[in-house]
Amino acid sequence: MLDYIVKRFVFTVIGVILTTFIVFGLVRIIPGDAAQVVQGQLQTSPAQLKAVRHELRLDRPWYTEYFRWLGHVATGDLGASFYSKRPVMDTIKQALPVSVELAVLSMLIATLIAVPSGIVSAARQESWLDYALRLFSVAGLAVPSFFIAELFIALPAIWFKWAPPGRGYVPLLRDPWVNFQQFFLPSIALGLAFSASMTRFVRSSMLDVLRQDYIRTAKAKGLRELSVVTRHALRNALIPVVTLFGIQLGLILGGTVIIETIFRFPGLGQYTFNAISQRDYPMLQGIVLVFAVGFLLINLIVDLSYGYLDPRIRYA
Amino acid sequence: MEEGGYWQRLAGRRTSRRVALRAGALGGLGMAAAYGLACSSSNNNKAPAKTGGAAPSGNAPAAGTPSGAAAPAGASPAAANAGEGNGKPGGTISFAFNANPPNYDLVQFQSYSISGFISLVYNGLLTFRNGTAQYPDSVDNTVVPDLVTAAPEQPDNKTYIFKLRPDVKWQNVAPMNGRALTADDIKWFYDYATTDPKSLDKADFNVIDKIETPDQQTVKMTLKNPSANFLTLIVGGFNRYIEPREVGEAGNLKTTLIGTGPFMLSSHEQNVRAVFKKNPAYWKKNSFGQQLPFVDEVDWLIIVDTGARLQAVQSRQANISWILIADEYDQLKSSNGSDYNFDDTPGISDYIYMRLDQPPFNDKRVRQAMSMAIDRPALIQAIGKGKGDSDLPIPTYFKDFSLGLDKLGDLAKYYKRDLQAAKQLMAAAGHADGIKTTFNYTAVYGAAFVQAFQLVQSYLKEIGIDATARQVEYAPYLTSVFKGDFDGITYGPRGLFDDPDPFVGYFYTPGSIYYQDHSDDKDLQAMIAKERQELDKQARINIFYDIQKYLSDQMYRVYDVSVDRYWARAKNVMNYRASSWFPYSEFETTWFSK
Repeated sequence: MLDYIVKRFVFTVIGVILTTFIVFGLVRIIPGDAAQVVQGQLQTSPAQLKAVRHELRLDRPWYTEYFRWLGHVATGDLGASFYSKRPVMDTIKQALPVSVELAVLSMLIATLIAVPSGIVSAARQESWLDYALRLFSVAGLAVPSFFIAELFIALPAIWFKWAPPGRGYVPLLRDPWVNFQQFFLPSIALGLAFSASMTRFVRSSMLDVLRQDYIRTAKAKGLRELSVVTRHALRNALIPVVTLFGIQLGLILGGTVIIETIFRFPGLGQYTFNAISQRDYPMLQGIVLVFAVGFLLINLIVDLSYGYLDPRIRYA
Repeated sequence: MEEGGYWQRLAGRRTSRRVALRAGALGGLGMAAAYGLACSSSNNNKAPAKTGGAAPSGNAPAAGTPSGAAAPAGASPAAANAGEGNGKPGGTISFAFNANPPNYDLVQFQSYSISGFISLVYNGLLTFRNGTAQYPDSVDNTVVPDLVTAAPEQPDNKTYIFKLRPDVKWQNVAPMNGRALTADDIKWFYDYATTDPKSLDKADFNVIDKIETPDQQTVKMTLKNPSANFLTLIVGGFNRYIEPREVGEAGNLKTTLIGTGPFMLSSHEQNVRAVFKKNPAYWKKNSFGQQLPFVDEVDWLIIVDTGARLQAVQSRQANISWILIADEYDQLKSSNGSDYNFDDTPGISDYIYMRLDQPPFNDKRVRQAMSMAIDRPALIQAIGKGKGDSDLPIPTYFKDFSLGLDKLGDLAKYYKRDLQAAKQLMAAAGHADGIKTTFNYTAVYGAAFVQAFQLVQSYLKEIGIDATARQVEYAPYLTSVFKGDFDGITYGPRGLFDDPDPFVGYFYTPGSIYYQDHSDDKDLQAMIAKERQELDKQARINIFYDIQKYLSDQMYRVYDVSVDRYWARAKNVMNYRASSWFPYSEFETTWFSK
């Protein structure tokens, strides 16, 4: 088991390094001259532009800048924004809790919807309940999360003259009630969108398990259906769902960009959007790196959890 | 006998796919029928049809006259009671706006996104009398003192002597620490705006020859030549506001906002919100002796998403909206008509500008043809629901200076849709087979702008100009296309100014911020220089008439339409009148009735 953990950890580190390379390169492929954008509206002479490029280190070879940046990343220094000159790490520390809370709550809602729905749908296969839940999941796949978010903004405003408090992010511990008001609609919007695919996956996985011989044996023994489903089938059905959970959490982190813009959360998604518009390379590199590392770590945890969920799995 | 109750049996009952599909189809038909019934009633809350083109004339008293509680002739008692004289302290203005300023230095960065912030925190030597309920004409350009005691003395037509108020203080925030404003501060600011290599004001302030400070309450500006619009130049737009010297000398103007104004920046969460608190030591009282500002706080909500911004108003989270277009106005009026008062102002027009130094757009026949392809009445109907005007080089709301279509004579034809004539012009220019080009734009100006762009693109196609859309993000747009670095043609909003000069001076004078099309027309530049120095108003008007005829013939920029814009303010918001242009946030004398 320890060998497996070490091996997975090493692969994760390699993944992180590869990710840094891809992130560094992709950012520089975006069309548009970062120096020009930083200069702003000024009519700039070639000499001035050259000076700005030199100040921003855009005139150095990319590989030297990559290794320089990598070296700084290893010490926790992600550089400073081209615009605000503020350290990228400070911005990330400020914005990360917002995005994490949104992602976790969305994932929780997605799971709370998907798991019971998938189980019921599988247990009541071909019933009207199954059809209704499957219709719901198809609709959830078809309707984009930003559309749901816009509805969640518009309808309470029109019907009840109410909107989530717009005073900026209020941490959970500072004011739980305001935090709840701020997060419950965007979390539901994002969670609903992701619950759709999860529901289908849980259903499919559960159906596979319910067709197994040992389930038939359990039923033949006279066990109640609830006991069969929850004690015997569910745990095995959830193993592949855990994999999906890890992937979905990563996708949710990416999905926060639009939701944060609509609901005005100062999270990593918003900063990513601004950084792309402003060609703020250090900010973009830093944030994407954080997303990527988070995604890899989540999947590492997911991989390591298999051994607990399924005792048959041994890490040789 | 089956085990379990009715509901368990029902839940577990198997249903065939055929039955399920049939049920779904019936359910869908039922929902469609219900939707059709629900939406069949007519909506009476539409924007009223256009009944006239001219901006409403104002009832403004003469310049310098204190505003009184008495209503102007024809005004309702409600309007009179809403006046500044009845102001009560307290309350928070929540203003829903759509953009976040990336920095605060108005000399180096000039975008509408910064305008609201600076008007709350800064003052200028002079200001326009605007934004008050007694002056319903939103383009009342009467100039009144702000940091100065009175209008400047003018010993000759090149010299302006400003006497500063002795009671003006900077806000009590380091490094200004509440000290008194001095003449040296004014001199520093104008020197900075005039000489800093990154200043966007250099072209405007180039007319200033020198600034002297005989004492700390007196600023003497000497111009290089007489200037007809010097005072409106230093009052209008971004040029009005005086930035703090110590902050500037430390190089922190981009990140620090400290002024002499009625509100102090308390916090700014990027892309979310900014909070401005009342300046407790604000030096200004109104003419009734009441301390300004009245309100305690301005909550500046930065809501980029249009739908979310409208909903912030609908949910009464915001008590003053930013600009609403006709559709949004209708929606808000139908949902919240009883909560808000609505004002309308002339809108911003859009135009096509192009590379005049490159073929094919260096041929005026092509430009004239483009203008004749545009269906302006249809644009006004589509974008403004019938409320708007065809736009001209000098907008019609400048009643004295604008020539108007009826006085353009034969040149008026270029502002009317005539596809046959347009195609003939294209053929005469050697483009009977059409032109392929790039049509640049940025979507940040909103859905109505993009819709207008698409309509204009379709009109150009009708005369053979195949203009491929190229959307540019706002930041790169400002730093490339907006500066004249583009191929093909570009669609952009013109903006409004407080004097007729910028409508021509900014666009056709090399070095100006809007000099994007590389026109380099020496004759035109000569006319502009002449109008700038013509102090006789009627003579200046005549020069502007000549300029407008010239531009209507040359069609350097193809102007389409301006449609009316709407503003909503909660019914308890008093003494606020939306201004047509920057800074949108004249809240100094605004108050709440309850």
